[in-house]
Amino acid sequence: MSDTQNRSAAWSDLPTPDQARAALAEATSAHVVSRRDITALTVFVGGVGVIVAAILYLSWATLSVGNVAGFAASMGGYAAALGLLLLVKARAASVPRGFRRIYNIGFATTMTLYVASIGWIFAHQSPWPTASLVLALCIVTALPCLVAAFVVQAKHRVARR
Amino acid sequence: MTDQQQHARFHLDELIHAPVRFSIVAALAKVEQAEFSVVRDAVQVSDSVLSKQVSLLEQAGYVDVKKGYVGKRPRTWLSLSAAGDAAFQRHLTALRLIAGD
Repeated sequence: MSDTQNRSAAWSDLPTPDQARAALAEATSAHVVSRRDITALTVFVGGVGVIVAAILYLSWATLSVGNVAGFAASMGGYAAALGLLLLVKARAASVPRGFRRIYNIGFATTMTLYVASIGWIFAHQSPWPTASLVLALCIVTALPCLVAAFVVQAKHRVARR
Repeated sequence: MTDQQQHARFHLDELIHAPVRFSIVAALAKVEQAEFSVVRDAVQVSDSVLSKQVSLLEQAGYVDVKKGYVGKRPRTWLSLSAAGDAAFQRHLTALRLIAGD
């Protein structure tokens, strides 16, 4: 007999059906995640997408005109923005179930698109891609994280119903 | 499997069934992790009561406790382990059987 069965077999006072229903209702209605937590996590996920897209655009805008100092400055800005987003995320006192999976999928897809985009941009240097084309790539790159942020919000709304 | 082994009580977990611990586990079942203070407020118990009950759950391998800092502020994070989640699901199944759902 397993440990669980040993522990359970000792029960002499089983809960009544009403007590069982009350316990099930409590389990269903238990909510720990606040709106503030969801806001912090949403800003974090969406923000990561936006800053990755921004660094993609700034890489093109600076390096296409040979502005290495500008590129270095934008990388510094990226690191600072990422630090700020991590501080925002740390404000979340609870993290809903499923958040890590949603974030990982969004982040991995955004980074894959970033690497593909930056590779394509720097493979076409004569002439360089136009600003509107790079902007379109930036939007596509940011999209997975923005969708992930939306999913985090939507899941919370459904859970609260 | 005999009829006796199929009885709902074999799936009830005495450790989880205690009211405060049930509330703690029910709250943690909805999150990947939560701060100690958030769980304390949700369950409406004192720090010492929560600490004692969490220790019991931790000893049983049902709850993971992680301590850290955010800035200079110490924080304690609680999460339900895989074993704790499985035990809680078994417990809920037994409750549903008893409730007749």
